Amino acid sequence: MIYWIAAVGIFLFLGGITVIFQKSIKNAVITFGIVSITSSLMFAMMKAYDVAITEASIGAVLTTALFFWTIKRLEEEGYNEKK
Amino acid sequence: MRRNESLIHIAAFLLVIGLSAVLYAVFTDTRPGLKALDASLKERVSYHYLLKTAGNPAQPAERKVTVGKSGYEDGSANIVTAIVVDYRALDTLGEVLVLFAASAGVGLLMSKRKRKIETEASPIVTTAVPMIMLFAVVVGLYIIFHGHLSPGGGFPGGAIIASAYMIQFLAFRKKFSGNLFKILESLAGLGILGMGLAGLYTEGSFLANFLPTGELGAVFSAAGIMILYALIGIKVASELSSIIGHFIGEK
Repeated sequence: MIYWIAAVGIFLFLGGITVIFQKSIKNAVITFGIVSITSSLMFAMMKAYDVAITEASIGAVLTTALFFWTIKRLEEEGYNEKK
Repeated sequence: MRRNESLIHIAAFLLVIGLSAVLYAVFTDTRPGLKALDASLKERVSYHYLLKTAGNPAQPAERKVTVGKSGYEDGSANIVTAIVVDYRALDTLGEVLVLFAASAGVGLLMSKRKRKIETEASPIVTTAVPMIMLFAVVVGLYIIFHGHLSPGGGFPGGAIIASAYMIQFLAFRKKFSGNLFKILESLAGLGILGMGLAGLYTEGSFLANFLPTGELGAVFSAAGIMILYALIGIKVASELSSIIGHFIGEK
């Protein structure tokens, strides 16, 4: 089990670095959602089930959706990512 | 405004002095009793809780609290919930207050707008979304009402119900008016404060658990924790739904 946890931890580390170096904001938000759901798996593997449920519902679903709607409203106001 | 500003500064300064005096009195207390900086483990919550035994499930008569003030506290089979909602309930009230401040800030700053894209969702989405919504609401209610037995509770359950409210915006064009959420949120907040004042009146400390616990591990046990977590779940769900509605709702 400890090797699985270490493997998921390395995946989280690489995912976190990938979020920083993404060119596009939308890709970064999607990668952030993947990192969130993987950290929820990590919490579940470490037997912190309530934290896992909270992370899966707030971190993976609500935060990603709010990021996307924020980007959408910014684009409606005239913000362009490429500029 | 400018004339009152110095008065406000003086009042804030006096408030800080008073709070510092209270802190000094608490930390240099020499009377008998438990001190704020005391490290005697036997007086601590964790000592009572780690000694708690749920007993043998085959003999329900043994399933009771062996350490602690039996009958009132320790009624929850889930230790984390008992600590979060019973012993450290004031912290939970502060967390709910933080979430309320975030929701109020979003409501203040975000203005409603008209949706520009006029495309309809496909029939697959409009058929699937109500079923997923129903499933998510049931899961959220389950997590809230089993908060004293299983992991989870008011915060994740409320967030799951809010995400169920969120996905209907993906499929349907829906108008958002926050009145229902305002009423629900205010009623839940008043309920939490009422529970706290009732605990203060009956037990002598704010948010103390004053309701009977029942049998440890049963579905309807730890009535105080159940009611408080249901109120917290309603409050969190309505606050997060209000944030989502302000973000993507239409005029």
